[in-house]
Amino acid sequence: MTRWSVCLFRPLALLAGAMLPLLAGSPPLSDRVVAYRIEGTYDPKAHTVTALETLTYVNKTGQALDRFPFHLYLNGFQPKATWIKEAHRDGSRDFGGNSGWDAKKTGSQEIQSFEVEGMGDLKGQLQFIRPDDGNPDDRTVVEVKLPKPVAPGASITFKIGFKATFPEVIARTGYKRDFLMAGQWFPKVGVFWKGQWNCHQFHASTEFFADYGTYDVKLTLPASYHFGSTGVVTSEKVNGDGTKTVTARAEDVHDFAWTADPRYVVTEDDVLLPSGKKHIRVLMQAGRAPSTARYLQALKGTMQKFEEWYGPYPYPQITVVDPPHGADGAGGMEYPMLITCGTSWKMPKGAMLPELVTEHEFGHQYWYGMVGTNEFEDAWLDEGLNSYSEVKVLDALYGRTTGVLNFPFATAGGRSLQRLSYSGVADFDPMTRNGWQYATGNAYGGTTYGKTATVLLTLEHLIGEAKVQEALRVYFMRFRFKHPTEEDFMATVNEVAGQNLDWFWNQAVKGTARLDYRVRKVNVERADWYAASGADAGKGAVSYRSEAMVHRKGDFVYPVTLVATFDNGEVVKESWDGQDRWRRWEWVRPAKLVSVEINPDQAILLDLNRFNDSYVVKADTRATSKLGTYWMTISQWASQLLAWLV
Amino acid sequence: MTHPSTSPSALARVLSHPRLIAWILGVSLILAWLASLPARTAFGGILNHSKASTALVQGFDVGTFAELLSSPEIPQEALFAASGAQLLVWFIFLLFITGGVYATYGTQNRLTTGEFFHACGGAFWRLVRLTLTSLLPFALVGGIFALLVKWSNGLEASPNERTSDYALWAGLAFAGLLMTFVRAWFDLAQAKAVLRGERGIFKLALRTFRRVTLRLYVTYVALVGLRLGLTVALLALWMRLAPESTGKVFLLMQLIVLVNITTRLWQRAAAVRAVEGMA
Repeated sequence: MTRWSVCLFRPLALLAGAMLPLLAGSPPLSDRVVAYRIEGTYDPKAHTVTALETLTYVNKTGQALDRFPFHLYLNGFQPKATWIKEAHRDGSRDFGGNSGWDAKKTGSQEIQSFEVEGMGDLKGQLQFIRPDDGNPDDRTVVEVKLPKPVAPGASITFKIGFKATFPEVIARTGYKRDFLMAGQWFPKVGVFWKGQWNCHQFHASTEFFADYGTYDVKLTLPASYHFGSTGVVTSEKVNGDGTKTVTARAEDVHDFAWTADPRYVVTEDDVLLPSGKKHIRVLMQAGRAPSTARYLQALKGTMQKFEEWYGPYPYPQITVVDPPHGADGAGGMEYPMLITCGTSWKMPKGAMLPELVTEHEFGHQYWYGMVGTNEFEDAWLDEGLNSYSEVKVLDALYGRTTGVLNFPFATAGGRSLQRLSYSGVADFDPMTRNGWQYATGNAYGGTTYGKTATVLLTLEHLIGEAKVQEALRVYFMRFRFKHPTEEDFMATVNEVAGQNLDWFWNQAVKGTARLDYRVRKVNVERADWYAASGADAGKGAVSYRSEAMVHRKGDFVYPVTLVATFDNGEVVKESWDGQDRWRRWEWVRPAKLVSVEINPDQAILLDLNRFNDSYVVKADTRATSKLGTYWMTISQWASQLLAWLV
Repeated sequence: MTHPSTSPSALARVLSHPRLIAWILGVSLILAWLASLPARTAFGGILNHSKASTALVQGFDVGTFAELLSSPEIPQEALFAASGAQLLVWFIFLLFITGGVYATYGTQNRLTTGEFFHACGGAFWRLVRLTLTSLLPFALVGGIFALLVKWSNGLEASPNERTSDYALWAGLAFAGLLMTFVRAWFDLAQAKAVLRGERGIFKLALRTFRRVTLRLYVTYVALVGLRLGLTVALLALWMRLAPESTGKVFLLMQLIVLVNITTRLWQRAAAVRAVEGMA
């Protein structure tokens, strides 16, 4: 859409937002445990927000609560904090392991006042706690002990004055030049889950966990800044002193993020889904107009697929944010109703990065946004399910082998790259490990994203693609706006599949066994190999004895189907439960074995080595010849470069 | 002093000795083939009997290739060591034949094989010393380029995303022009060393610095442009080839190598013409 249309759509968007309270007559989608009201002022020169947060918490736990922990995530960006300690040790996408400390990366959340209605000033009762690693320098969780508990069913209102100082972009939040992505910027209460408070420290490899509720946020910022946020902007008032005050409201979400940049080019659009018309706002960097269309196309296609496969997107709007160059750390992130993507002005059409990141981050609106799993403890339930969905959507929209790279000279699809990311860390950590306890950052990424996607793609082989899709749909519809567990997910799949898949979950999800079946040996000879060339040999039709042996190289036990093809066109399928270490088959017939394959179409994606899953009797050297030719060519080109020095 | 047009006459000299071009191309091909043998053996052991290889024949699946490379059966260090060894042998070969190349282009008569190799051997150590001397200005150009890269990285702070990229490309182009000058300078020195028997390499290099004419430099720059342009055009053609047509790809790639070899020889012939035009 052209910029002039912003003039048309902006008022409509505001009108839509203003009508939200009128629509409040519709029942809440979630069990609204929290109601946040935040009123603050953003100072772009100091990169701070000073605000007053009023949090009303409804005790639906069934127990009296006398203490409340709060996340102060921005305190994680300090040299001795746990987040930085872990990033320095393992490296992260935002912070190189060997980098010195750059003071611009410092962030903080300072509580300036803390009152509780009916209990007075409790700032003195605040204490930092470190439930995960005991790091005395980590201040990302603060807890207050109340003088009197909150009874079950009752509510409590906290009034928290705070100042958030943003770092230069790191780990999805921060500023770069005039751009700001404000994520995890306010004191956020923990979740009472499984009978106790769940409020983890901020770790380098973990994300977030919070309760559902409503957010009413009023922010004063420079009038020239374009603003985008979770929820919908309900009013925008220019104050006459160079600032404006923006009010936004979001319902049935568990987080609120916002962004501001005077340089955004705003595009407004709509998409018609089965659940109704949804508004789209794209906040784009100038000079990247071609990517706006790419974002929109990918987003609309993804939204259609998610509604078709899993369930409705109930919110009225989605905002897409394009961080500027140098702020890549703010890209590729999800917040309720707001996603950040990533591209560059020279992004070629065949590199599907804008599409991939848009699809992935929108997918989190479902897996994390509406199905509010614990991202600290069960990271695979959001990242992994989302990576699986990503493969399926990219396959549907852009092709199974071209969904990530689509050049005439090279292609790549999502499933092979997910598998690749997992294969390097296959035997390190189970998917069920707590997010901050993985061996390395790569192990976390490869397992929560890549392995989970690969496990679910392999599940399609076990129970059928339609069943997996149905299971995810049931899981989404059953657990949206709730906090399901790993067991909830696996039980749902078992239920939909109509079978107990615990043997699979125990190995794939809870274990680290490697799955690798290989065709170890193939032999073809005349059945009468013992006969001399003479009377006994060659009389009548020649019979051949063909043999194949399959070896279970890994420790993961999985049923295998062997497909044997003969030179008379006959195809034989043999089943094996895969329990033993090896199995041999033999066929005697008037035809020679041409090939055997144990993983047709690579449907058992968990199998770590696809090259040994088949054996073709007659060698096909085309691939080797092709690679050899390119190897030669690159050697020659390198030689020609060297010729410049002579 | 008259300066005959160097380009067309230089090209004529190159084209009048097609066997030299063919020989250099042949050696390049043989060395590259030898360098590729460990890779062919390693890849073949995995791919030749596997149906998964079709993902690399019908198209080129990057995921499959990445999995292949990360396979424990692929000895990556050995593969790259073979290519590294090939580059070293090629480098020495080029150094060795450079004397013969200049002698070939610098004479009206056709050299016999013995005369060619005599010229190669006779000038070899001088050319080695000249090459070593040339590393100094090349390193200086490299240093200038590193500074330009640092400068362009500093422009990342600019709100305009393209500023840093444009600066980097301009720096690259500037460094390329400087490198071309250094190349022309030392080609001229090499030609003088071979054709005039000049010795005292360091002084030869210093004296020759001032003898690089604008015409010669422009010729060198134009030939670099031609080389790049033809390479890009041929690569564009490559992208239109069917992925499984390995034979056509091979021929096209050899054509690119031929363009590179011919334009480089053309530059040397231009240096010879420039020496002939000197007093």
